[in-house]
Amino acid sequence: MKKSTKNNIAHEVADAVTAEQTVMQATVDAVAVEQNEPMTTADTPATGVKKSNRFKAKFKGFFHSEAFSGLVFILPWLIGFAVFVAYPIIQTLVFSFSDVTIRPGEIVTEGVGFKNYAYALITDTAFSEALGDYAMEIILYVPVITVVSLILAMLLNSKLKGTGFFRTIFFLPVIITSGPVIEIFITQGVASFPGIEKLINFTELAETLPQFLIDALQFLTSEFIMILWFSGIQILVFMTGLQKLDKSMYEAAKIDGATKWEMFWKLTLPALNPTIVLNVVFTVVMQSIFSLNPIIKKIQNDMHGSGDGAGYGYASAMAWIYFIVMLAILGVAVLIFKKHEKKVKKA
Amino acid sequence: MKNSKKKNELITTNETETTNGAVVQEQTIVTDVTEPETVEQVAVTADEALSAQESLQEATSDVSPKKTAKEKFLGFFAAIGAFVRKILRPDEDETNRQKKKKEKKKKVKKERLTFKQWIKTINKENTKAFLLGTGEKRGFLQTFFSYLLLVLFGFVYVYPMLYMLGYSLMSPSDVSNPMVNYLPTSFYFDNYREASQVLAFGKTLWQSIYVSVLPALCQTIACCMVAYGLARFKFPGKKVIFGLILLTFIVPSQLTMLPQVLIYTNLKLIDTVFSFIVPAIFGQGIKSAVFILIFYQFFKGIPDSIIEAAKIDGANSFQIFFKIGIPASVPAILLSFLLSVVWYYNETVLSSIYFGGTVTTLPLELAKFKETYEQIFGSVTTTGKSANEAIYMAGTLLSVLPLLVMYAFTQRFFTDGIDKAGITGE
Repeated sequence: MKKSTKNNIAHEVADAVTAEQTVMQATVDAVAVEQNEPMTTADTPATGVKKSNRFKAKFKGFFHSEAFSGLVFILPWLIGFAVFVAYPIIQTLVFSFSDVTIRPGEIVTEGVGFKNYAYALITDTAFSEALGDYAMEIILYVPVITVVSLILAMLLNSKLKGTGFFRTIFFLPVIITSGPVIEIFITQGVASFPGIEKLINFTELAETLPQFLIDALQFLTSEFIMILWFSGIQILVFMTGLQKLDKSMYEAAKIDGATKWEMFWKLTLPALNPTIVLNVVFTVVMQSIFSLNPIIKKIQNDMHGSGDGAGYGYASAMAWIYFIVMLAILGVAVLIFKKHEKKVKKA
Repeated sequence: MKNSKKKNELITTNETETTNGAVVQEQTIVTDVTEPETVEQVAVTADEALSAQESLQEATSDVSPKKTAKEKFLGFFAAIGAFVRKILRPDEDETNRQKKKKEKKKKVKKERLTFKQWIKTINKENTKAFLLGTGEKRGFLQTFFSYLLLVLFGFVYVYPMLYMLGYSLMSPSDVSNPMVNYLPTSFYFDNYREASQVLAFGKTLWQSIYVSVLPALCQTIACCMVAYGLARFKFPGKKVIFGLILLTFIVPSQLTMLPQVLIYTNLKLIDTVFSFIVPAIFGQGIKSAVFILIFYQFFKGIPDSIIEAAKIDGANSFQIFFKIGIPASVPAILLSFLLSVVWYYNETVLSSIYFGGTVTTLPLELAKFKETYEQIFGSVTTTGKSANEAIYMAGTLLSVLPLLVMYAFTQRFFTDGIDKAGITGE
């Protein structure tokens, strides 16, 4: 970790140095131009001309520099970021601390302090419930999706015949997954196999296991297939990760007499750690922006209207709380894997 | 394996050559194939020479004006076929294809053992080797369990689709009959007629297509450019920009949605496709960060020497981008465009807010399927008719049908593209 940050810094320094160099080059050019000037136009000692020439030279240098070309390519994104992301985020923050009324042609905001946040967290039980549901969903989805997609990726990566066909099948849900489709599948009971709930005797389990585990199990069994449906891209990402692994490592391990089981735990898994982090982040984000997410539904419902627990101000506050919870979950997930990575490096 | 061969020497030599039990059998096949290969190669080269001659003749006959209408007609279709093949398999040229065809024809047929001979070849060692595998080779049990797992998971993945297909063809009596499960007693297509009426299929399909294709096109172009700028130029603050790109990926759209609605209302873009297109042009479409990263990986992979050479030849940055960057990233462009189409098509939260009902898509119509159905056909209380499971399933199938059709033709770009793009993000 530390090494990489150092590297980053080194890179940045290098970037800065090259930038400086280009600037220096430009000034050198400018100086050269300046020095040439008096030779040719010695009769007219107008400083204004000189200045403009120097400015031109500098400008010319910048136009031909790499930084300028790069900037041209990135400019649309920078404008888009400022207009469609940065400004809206700040405005949402302002909204969240105020009552917002929208009249044709103008937006009236009235500061109310933390009222919206307090209402969302304390008074509005529907929101805190939705937040709890969301957190549980993520905590269940992430391990299941990660483990299943890793298993499937390893199966598809082995040199079996017909893996192309299975790859097509496993990627199919990515194409057709949208909120309404999944909702219809869940309401029509296709999200799980019929009778899978009967296999597990929940009332008997309830005597021995705590309630939240029972809830989790029930949730898993009721939406079993739909959870798997969300792992299409993760499978492909794992497959590319597996293909990049160093094969000589395995040969060395084989000579040392390692079994395949040991090789998986001691070679494959540690080497895949960055890929796992990537997939975990991807899963959390994808689930967080999926339209069936209980919080997204709640925010959408409360967006319009006025008074307590409604309107743009209140919706903004909920969005901010939601974002912070999501960041916390992401942070915890990434930390767990980063810690593991450090341990591996030490050992 | 050599051991087992020795043990089986009791059988006549004639037999050992071709027939030697399950494990040995494969070995004999290998030798069978390798031996005639040299002969075959000669044959192939000879064939190639022949075909080259033929094509030469064809070429000369092309020049001569004595071409019948029929030949012209056939030639036209052959040209189309070659063109399509080139698009689908750009890495495979014509001679290669012919070679493959010939190889297929000439594959040696293995001789079959009689059951008695086969039983005799079974012994403890080669059975073990067969089941558990030897060294490099995968054992039968391992293969079996791998396939078992794949088939099981595959079935779980496809189950909802099969269920949907089966139920969408059921008549009302089939649906209410508890004895009929999964397969309909007879095909009943009225569900599709009613569902397409509810979805206003023709009109909605057209709108869905342009609502997804136009923004996807803009997004692909914009992300391609931005990623090229990031990958191939040095400038200060690049790390910061990468951080911001990741931020746009993580920030949920709920955080930016409300002010965006106000912006679009001011710009009079609300209720039109432009509320999707304008952010896409500026690289802020749905999940743009993913596409930027895909392109970034691709452009990083272009060797510096090529670009240096182009620079020395006097090409400017934009010429290099169009002449080298874009041709090199065709798989990434296809993948991004297709994924982008899929994600725009399936988006419902943003499109319901930005389009406000004036522009609608199939998923949006599916979301209010029940209400629309009751408006058209009446509800249980008024007409005694209700949208049963079969009609829901028909509607769902219709709403994903365009995507399925697209996937059927382009699935290879999806999976190969991600393979090549390698979004494992170092």
